Amino acid sequence: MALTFKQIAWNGIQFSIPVTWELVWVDSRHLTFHENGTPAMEIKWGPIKGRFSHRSQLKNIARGHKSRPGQKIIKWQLPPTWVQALTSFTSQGFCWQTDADSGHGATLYCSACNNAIIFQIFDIHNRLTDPSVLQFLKTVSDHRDDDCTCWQLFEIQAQLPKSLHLNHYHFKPGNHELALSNRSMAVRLLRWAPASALLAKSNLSEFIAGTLPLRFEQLKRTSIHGYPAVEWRNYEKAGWPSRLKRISIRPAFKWVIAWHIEACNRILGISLESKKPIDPNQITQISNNFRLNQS
Amino acid sequence: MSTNSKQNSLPRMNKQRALTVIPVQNSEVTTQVSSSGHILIRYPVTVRPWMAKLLRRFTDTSPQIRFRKLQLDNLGTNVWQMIDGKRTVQDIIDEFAQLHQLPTAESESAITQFFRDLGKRGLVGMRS
Repeated sequence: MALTFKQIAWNGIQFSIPVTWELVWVDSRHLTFHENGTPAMEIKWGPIKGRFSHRSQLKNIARGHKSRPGQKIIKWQLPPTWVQALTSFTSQGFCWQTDADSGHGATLYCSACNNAIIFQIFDIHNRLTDPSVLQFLKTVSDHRDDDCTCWQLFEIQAQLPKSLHLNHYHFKPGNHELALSNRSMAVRLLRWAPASALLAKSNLSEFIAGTLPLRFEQLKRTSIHGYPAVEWRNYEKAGWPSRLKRISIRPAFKWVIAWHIEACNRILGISLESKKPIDPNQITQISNNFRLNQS
Repeated sequence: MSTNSKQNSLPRMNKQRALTVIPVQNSEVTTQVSSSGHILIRYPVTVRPWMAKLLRRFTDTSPQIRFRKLQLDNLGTNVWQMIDGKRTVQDIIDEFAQLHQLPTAESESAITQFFRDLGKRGLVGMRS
């Protein structure tokens, strides 16, 4: 049976995993996947301060596992296929085993971006020769050549400037949100579903006005990528009050745009807040790179 | 030390098994369909002894059972109508996902949370 893979991209890291692996835990730099209700893979990553040492990383992991009796983390010689797949990193393997469970993984260090990745694959005896693990290893990367960061998790897929850092996120049933910001701008990417139920008693303008919340009369009907959309922005006005807004702590300029993808039964939205007047190209660029993740 | 011995004595159930149970509506629940097509559930709750005492003192009545109402939205109504004593939780999740073009994981999360809420109110029970 041919394996199908899905792309995951989250907070600087990206890789491919089998579609059967389900994401069960999301943190800003920590993801855990299960397959058929049992743990399959766990990955953590982050920047390294000072010099990187595989030995100290292994010690850190071992310290975290002390609470589990009978579980000892030891060095493990990575299989040649793994080493071949991880050539862009310096790597070292580790493993642990208890009566019920076992895990094999590696600490990876990328000298180009000074990032470290720790991952472990559970129940290795069934997965060691599995092409899915090899595919994950071949595709795992922690930096891109362009000035962008990819975000692809659940139904959100976006490509945003690297300067935007993750503030908060939630993937509740019916409502996904990803909020990022840099020194001058805050972006929220939103996804609502099912649109047919949410728009059963109201139109898109009424829904967006009630959810974000905005004044219904101020929403303008428009279209984005051929989909019906609504838009709201506060334009810069002439005079001192407007100029004073620029020096206030809170962002004075806001732009909201939301569109209804009827064929997929979804509503997507972008909310942009800035201390400086928002360049229309900026919102166009974000909306062009924000779509529904259907992988 | 745990004080909830009843909870501790319950056998552990994994996710796969939990999804094969069949939700059943409480027979003491009455429903009413509004003009918008949404279901209004009326369900009995036992009055706590201290509350009964308080009611007796101030209202001269001592009801043992009171009725509460729960208004479902269109998604809740969909799911409530799927609880027929035949469909398993997994069947309802799949049907709900198909009906609203949702990913199964999202449908599963929504349905299990909804059943948890209904269960807390005593509106549904689970039959294995």
